[in-house]
Amino acid sequence: MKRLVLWMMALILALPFVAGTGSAQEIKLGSLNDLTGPTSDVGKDIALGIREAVQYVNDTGGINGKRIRLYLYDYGYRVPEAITTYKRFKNFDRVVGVLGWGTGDTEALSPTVGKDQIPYLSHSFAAALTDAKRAPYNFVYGTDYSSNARAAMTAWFDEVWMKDPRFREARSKGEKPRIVMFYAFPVPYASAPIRALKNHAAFLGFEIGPDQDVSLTALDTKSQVLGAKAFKPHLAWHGNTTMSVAATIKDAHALGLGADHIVNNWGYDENLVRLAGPAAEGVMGIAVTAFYGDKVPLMDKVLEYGKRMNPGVPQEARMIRTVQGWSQVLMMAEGMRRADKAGKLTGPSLKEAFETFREWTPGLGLQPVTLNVSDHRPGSVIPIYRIKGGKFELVKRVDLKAKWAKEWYGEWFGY
Amino acid sequence: MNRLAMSLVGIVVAAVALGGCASMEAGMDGGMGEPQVKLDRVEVAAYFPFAPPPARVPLVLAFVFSVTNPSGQTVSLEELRFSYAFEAKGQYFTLNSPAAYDTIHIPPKSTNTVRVVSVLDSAIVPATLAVTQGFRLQELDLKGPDVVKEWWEKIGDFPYGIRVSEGVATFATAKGARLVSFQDSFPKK
Repeated sequence: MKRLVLWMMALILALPFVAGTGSAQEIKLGSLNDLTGPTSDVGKDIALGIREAVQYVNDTGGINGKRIRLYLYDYGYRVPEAITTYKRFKNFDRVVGVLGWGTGDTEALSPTVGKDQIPYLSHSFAAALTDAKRAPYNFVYGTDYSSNARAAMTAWFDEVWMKDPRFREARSKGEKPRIVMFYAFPVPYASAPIRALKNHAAFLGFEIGPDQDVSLTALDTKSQVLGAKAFKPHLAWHGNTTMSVAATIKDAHALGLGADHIVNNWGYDENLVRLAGPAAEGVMGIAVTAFYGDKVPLMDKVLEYGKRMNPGVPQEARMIRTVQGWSQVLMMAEGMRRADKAGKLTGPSLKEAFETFREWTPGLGLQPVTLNVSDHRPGSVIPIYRIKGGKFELVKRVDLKAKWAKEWYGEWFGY
Repeated sequence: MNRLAMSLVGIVVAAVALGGCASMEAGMDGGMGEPQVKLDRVEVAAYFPFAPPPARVPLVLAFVFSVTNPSGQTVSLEELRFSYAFEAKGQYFTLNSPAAYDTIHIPPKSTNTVRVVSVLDSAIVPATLAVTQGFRLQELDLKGPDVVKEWWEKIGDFPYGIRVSEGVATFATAKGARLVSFQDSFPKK
C-alpha cells in the first residue's frame, strides 16, 4: 500500500515535466482573407501581417498565458465561400472570434455572427457595421469609409480649394468645386461611402459629375477618364483598391484629366507610388495606420517579425497592409485579454470587453479606439496624407466630431 | 522507516529523471538539427479539360512535401503554408497561397510525406493575375486568359515551371513555435 502511495506521488511529481511537452491551452481565432480574389493586391500583405502579429502575441505572453491558434483561410472575395468558411470556424474550428475581410461578406454574415454571438473584427470599415444596434457583434479598428470620404473631401476643400493659387480665379468667380467618383459600382466596399460622399459634397457646396464604373481588375480606364473629363472636375474620388486606382490615376495623368485625386484607404499605399509612378505625385488619401517602416511605437517589432517569419518576402515589397494586419490582431488580442481576465473568454464577454475600450491604441499609428455599447465607430480623427517626392506626408488630421458634432452624433452615424 | 525513506528518495530521483527526459524530448536544442521541408513533386490531383469563359474549370493540384525530422525527438508540424507561381515567358506569376493546419507528428530521424491540395479556377486566375501582376503581364505582352488556357491545357506534361516560395512550416515545441522556411520548384532541373 505504502509503495503504491509512493509511486503515485512520483507520478504527480513527474507530471508537470511530462505535461510540458503537450500543447498549452489554446484560444482559437479564425481569419478570412483574400489571397486570390480581386482585392488580393492588398490582401496578401495583410495576411502576412496577421500571421506575424499572432506569433508576436504568442511570444509575448499570449492571452494571459494562453496561446492563440490561428486558422487563416483564403476565400477569394467570394461571399458564398466566406459563408462556408465561417461555418467551418463555428462548427469545426470552434473559434472565439473572427478576423474578417470584405464588405460584402462581412455585411452578409453580420446577422449570423450576431445570432451566434461571435465577435467579428473586420477589415471592412463600412459605416453600417459600426451601428451596434444593427450589427452588435461587428467591430472595426479603423475609421469607417463614409467618415474617411468626408474627411478626405474636407481636407482637400480646406487645404487645397480654399488656399491653392491654382483655384484663386475659380473661387473669385464664385465657381463651385466639381467632383467625379471612380469606383466599382457592384462592389460593396467601393460603393459603401458613395451616398455619404454625395451628401458631403452637397454639404460643402460641390457640383457632382457622372460616376465612373471602374472594375477592381481594370488595367485600362481610358473610357472612364474621358467620360469624366467632359465635366472638367477639380477633384476625383477613387474608391477601389490599389491596382485599379493606379491604373485610373495613370490614365488620368496621360489624358490630362486635370483633377486632383483623393483615395480611400484600400487604394492608398506604397504600391500606388510604385505602380502609378510620377502620376501619383500630389495624390491625397487616407491611411488608418502608419506606413510600413515609419518611426512609430512597435514598428520595430513589425519589421523584426517580418524579416524573421517571412524571409522570402523582400522588405521593400511590404506595405502599410502589414501594419493594418498587426493592428487588427492586437485589437483582438487586447479584447481577448480583457475578457479572459474578467472571467471566461466567450463571444459575449469578448464583445463586452471591446466595448470597454477607451482611447486604446497599440501604437503603429493607429488612431485611439473608443467603443461603447451603442456606437462601434472607433474614432473621429482621420489622418489625410499627400504623396510628395514618392513619400507620404501628413496633410492634416480631420476631426469630424470636433468640426461637426451634431452631424457626427446624428445623421452621419451608420450612414 | 529507513527503507521507506530510501524508497521515497529513489522514486523521487526516478520521477525527476523521467520528467527530465520528457522535458528534453520536447526541445530541439543541442545541435540535434532543425526539421527540413522539401517539395518532392506537384501532381495534378484531378483534371478537367479547359473550356473558355463563361465556363469555369478547376485545376486541382497536390503539392507533395517531404518533412524530415533529423533530431532525436518527435516534432509536431502544426502549419504548412506557401505561395506558388506558374511560369510564362520566363517569369513567374503567383497564383495562390494555400495553408494546411493538420497536426502531424514526425518521429525522430524520420521523414513524413505531407500533401497539400490547392484548387485553381480558370475564371478567377485571370482576375488574380490582373489585380496583383497586371502591369507585369502588360509589359510582357501577355493576356491573362491566354496564359490560363495554356497552363490548363499543358499542365499534364509540366512544360513550364512551378515555383513554391514564401514557404513557412510551423513546428510546436515545448519552448514555443519553431519556424522553418523553404522554397523549391518543380519540375526539378
